[in-house]
Amino acid sequence: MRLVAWLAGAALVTTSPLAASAQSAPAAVTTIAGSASAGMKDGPALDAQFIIPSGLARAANGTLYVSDPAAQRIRAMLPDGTVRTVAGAGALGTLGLSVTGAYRDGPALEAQFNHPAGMAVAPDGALYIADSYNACIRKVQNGTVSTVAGKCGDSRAVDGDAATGRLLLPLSLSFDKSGTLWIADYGAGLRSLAQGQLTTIKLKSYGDLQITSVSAQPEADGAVIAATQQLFFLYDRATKTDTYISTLTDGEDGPVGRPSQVLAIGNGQALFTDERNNNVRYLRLPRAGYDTSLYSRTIAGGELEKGIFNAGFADGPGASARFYSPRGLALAGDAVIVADAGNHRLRRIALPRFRRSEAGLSESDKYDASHYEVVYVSASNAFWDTTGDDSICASLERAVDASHRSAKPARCHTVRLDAAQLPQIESYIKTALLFRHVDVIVIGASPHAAATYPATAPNAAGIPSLRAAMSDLVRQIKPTGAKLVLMWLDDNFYVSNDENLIMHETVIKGFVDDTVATVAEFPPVFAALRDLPIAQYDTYKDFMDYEKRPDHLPLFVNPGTHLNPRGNAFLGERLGAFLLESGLVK
Amino acid sequence: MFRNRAVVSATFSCVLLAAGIARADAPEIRPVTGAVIVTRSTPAEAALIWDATAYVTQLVHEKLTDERGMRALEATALRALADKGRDLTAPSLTLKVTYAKTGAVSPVYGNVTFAGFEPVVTIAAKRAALVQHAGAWSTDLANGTVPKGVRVAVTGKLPPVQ
Repeated sequence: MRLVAWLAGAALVTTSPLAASAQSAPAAVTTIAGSASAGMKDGPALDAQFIIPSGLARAANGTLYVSDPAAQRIRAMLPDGTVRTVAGAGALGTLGLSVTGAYRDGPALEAQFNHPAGMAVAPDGALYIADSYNACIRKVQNGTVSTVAGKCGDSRAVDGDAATGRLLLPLSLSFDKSGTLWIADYGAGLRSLAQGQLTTIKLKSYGDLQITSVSAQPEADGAVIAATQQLFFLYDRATKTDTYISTLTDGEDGPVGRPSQVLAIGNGQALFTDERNNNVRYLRLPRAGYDTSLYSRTIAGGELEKGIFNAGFADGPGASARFYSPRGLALAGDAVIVADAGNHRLRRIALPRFRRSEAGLSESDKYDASHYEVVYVSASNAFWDTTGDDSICASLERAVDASHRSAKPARCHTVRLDAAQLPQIESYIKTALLFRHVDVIVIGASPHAAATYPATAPNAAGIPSLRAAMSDLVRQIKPTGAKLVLMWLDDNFYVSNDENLIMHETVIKGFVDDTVATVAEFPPVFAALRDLPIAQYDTYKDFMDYEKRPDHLPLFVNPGTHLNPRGNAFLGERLGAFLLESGLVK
Repeated sequence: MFRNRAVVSATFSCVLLAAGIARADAPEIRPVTGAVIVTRSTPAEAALIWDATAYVTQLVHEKLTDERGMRALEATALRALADKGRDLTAPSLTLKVTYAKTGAVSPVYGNVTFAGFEPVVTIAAKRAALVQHAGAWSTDLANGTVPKGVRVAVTGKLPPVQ
């Protein structure tokens, strides 16, 4: 089943890797409310004015609430596209830049705030507001503002019931599934308000008192992601553990970001605004045992290297869009709304598809018979340096669907098992995939490693062991109807070294010799499995053919042994074509 | 394959339970953490898997990987099966409980690596009875008694305390 002849030329004409990359939808940024001049004017969204739009919260009916700490008001962008003031009062000062803060409960348009910051919509629809300088939590419901926790004007950190407890400087709020209100109380730490009790969470360290932002993970009750100005951590109420995630330092001399608002978007992922670098970034948490590296990428705004010089205003594709001191975030369907404080506007970012490795068991019902279900299992290269749209799986889907040669669309699920050997991959397949509807299981494996399978065995014993294991796997998979593909990825170390040699147009002879030496040990591996019902796809030739092209571009990160986004697109496209050519998807 | 654990003490335990008395060392029945997915559903039976990695991690964290830990896991698994079973129609339900084992710290990633799944226990029951008796049955399991309508097969073991 090994694909010997590859129609590389034809494939490149129709769906080149670069074209495939270009097909991934960039994160497009548009302005949805506010205008260039600061103010408090209500009206049609793009005529309305904000001074410093900061906190955001979105209600179930689509109303987007905006706190403006300079205006001491809560505004709302309604589904009909108009902006109106829903709470707060007071006139602009003589300079016209801000309203003096104060405290008053009562009818919403007569109530007063002192720097309202983060907000959250409660399950009953009430809007909760971190009234930061008043050091209390306020609530707007049925046109009335009331105080629900702390004593406004008494800034201290005291636990107790909602009336006797005190807050220091509440900046950010988030409700979890159970209705617990999580509070980032700057200087006091992470706090919760549940069943009328205000409680400070005991955390390890990490400068945990200086929390500026908190967001409950939507799928987990009592688990939150919190940020200080320089790092993130997780807190899980079920296990009473807090886990340090990352600082934002990229090396000793690298740029240090300053997260303003973090927004958990589920499945171990988050977005955050970075006020220093003036961008919006994506954060993917590691999962111990599976996907073991943290990942962060800018999705809109300038790159980190330019830091504060990214500040500006521009709509457009994510990389060219510009923000000025972005703060609050709120999800709105497949987009995220950003409170672009320095630009006095609300911006909308159409999000790319954030798929992630599905190692572990997915809660979703994504596996269904209306699609060709392809599961791609491999080590880190399966999902390296990708947000989803530029992953191997996304590229595979595009290649299959664009060919118009398959009866139904392909859906590809990435399973990333870092540093996994074949025994672990077998274990995963036998446990997680055996009884699900899967059409094709692709195992990305190194023939070099396979030749010594299991890893501790010498070569002579390795290949028979591999054959025995694969035979067993084939036997177990057979009743499910799933087809098995072994996609041989040469040790990336060799490929990327070869690539570099070609790139630099040096020692081409050395490259050839190296290739011969590297590949020599592979045919026995391929041959040992040839009579089994396993489709084998050796990618090495395709990589080399591409890299010998005069217009080739790097497919690997340099320095490094992982594929870059272009390499992911290349491999996904090739794998999709292989599935079609070999009739596994038809 | 399936067995009725604690046969010797079953009668005594049943007496205790009948009187509504829990064993002094009965472990806490914790909330289900991690995904429980339906892997196969036919008119006759439904098979589910619970990725109990997070749950087992917490047991290890609390140094509770002895028999009490296993009882807690079984009792929680039964509840998970009952919860999912309410939305299913198949008369027979089976839940395979598994967790991801971690291996050596990878020098490349600086974190523990995936070392395979450990199928640790499988629980089977008739859906109607399970949904009706879930609370009492999970308490029975926590106390070390396998209820009459439940089959428990231990297929692996919990990890050692670090």
